Amino acid sequence: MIRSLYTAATGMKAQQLQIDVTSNNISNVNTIGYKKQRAEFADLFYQTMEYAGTSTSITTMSPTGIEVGLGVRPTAITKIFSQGNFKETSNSLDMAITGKGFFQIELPNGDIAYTRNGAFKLDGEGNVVNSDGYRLLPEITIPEDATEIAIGTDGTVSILQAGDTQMNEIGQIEIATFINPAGLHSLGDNNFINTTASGDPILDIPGLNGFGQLRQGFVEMSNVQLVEEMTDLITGQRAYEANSKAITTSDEMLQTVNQLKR
Amino acid sequence: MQNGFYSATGAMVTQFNRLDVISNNLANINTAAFKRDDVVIGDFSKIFQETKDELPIRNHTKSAAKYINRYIDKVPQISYEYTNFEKGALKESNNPLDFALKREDIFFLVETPNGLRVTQNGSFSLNEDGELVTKEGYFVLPANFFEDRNYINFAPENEITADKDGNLYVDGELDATLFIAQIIDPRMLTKEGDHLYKFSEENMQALQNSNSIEQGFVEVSNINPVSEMVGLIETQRLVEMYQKVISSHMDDLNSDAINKLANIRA
Repeated sequence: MIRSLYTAATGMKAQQLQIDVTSNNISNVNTIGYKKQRAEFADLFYQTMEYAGTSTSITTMSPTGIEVGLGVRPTAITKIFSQGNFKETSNSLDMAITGKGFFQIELPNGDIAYTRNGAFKLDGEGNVVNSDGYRLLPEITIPEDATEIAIGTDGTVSILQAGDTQMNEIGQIEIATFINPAGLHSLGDNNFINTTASGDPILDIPGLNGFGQLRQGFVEMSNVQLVEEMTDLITGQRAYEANSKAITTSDEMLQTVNQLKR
Repeated sequence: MQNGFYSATGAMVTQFNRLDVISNNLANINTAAFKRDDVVIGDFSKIFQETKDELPIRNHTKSAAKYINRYIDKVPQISYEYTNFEKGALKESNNPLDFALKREDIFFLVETPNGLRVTQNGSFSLNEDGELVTKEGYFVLPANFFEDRNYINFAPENEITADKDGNLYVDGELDATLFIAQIIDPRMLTKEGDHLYKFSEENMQALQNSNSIEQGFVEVSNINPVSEMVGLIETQRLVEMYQKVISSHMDDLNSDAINKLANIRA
């Protein structure tokens, strides 16, 4: 039937996806370590009725062609890995990465996941774990009689045990970076795993070779800007309305066609 | 009579049948785990190609059929109705006995009085004996059902947790595992109502370690209202056009033929 009916339908579905992505960002505005997503679209494809450059006579050719577009499709939902804001917590096991890098977490099935969420705790045996109980790698165990824990900007973990006057170094935290962090697969629970698109993890000490440094006592909040998301909601809704107007216009034109014959 | 009249009638009937499918989809927008149906409209010559060996026509030739149905060649009919098994959104329910499947080709296995069926609706509850049943009372089968023939049983005060493979734990101890049926060809499933699909033995195999079960979530229908509305608009305008064709045949052409051609002037 009329092309515009189906073209406008693709437009409405694309705006639905945009609102879905925006509402996910808004719901995670206070999630520690959350990285916002952005939906990207591209035009679908074109039906060519006449190619540009077709000759119109022996000596002339048409300068433009006739190509009708058929709508829009989503091409990507990218994660934007910009730095989030820091919040001071004064919790000795909270860490934030200033710059590039991910903490390594060991999942129950043995795989390694990566996260920017640095809010760690101790489990019953003194291991450093995240809120789900997954261990931080390389494993760090805090002995029972430690009274203070200090984590340097380069990831060295030192503790002060009862009866000592000097801190002892007990471990070193390593962080991982990727060539293409946007290619990481989101598992949920603030965790990512690497894929062929993200590249293999590159491990190093925080602070060296362009890796970010660690800050103890801070957590990195989400990088969602509510102003941007509100604007995206407004434009998404108005684009949805505009597309629905295109559909109702096509409907009315079809009605006019049908009324041509008495 | 005029064969164009019958072509338009056939087409209009097809659009009414398509409207039935669209209305069923819209009626089920809020049904858990409902999968939308869609129709493929083909013309008679395509359907004839597929079924000509079964037609009672001498020589089974296309020209024989064409002789009898000279112009009905191109009347559109619904040649195929299919179900779209795309995943719907997951809605959080916080009910420990609600499970959602995250893959398109896996189902839960239930036992009904009519036999074994599969379903993607994971809203379960416990019956009066503590057995895990669907909301209609059909038993949800465990992974070892074909060896043990037992149903899944819990006490009412048990706190049930589940992992992503469908293993059910009570107080941290493994109690039972849900049977996860993987359907090899989803097109061979038939809908039966009550969220159930009928399957054939060779189409189903058990799947361990699916890593796709979410506890506390319900899957909503996968119906996109935009697509259904565009389908409704299309159906209505097409029926209007066919009505114009039909009335042109009957009211205009025939009435002119009857009144003007056979008019006898006194």
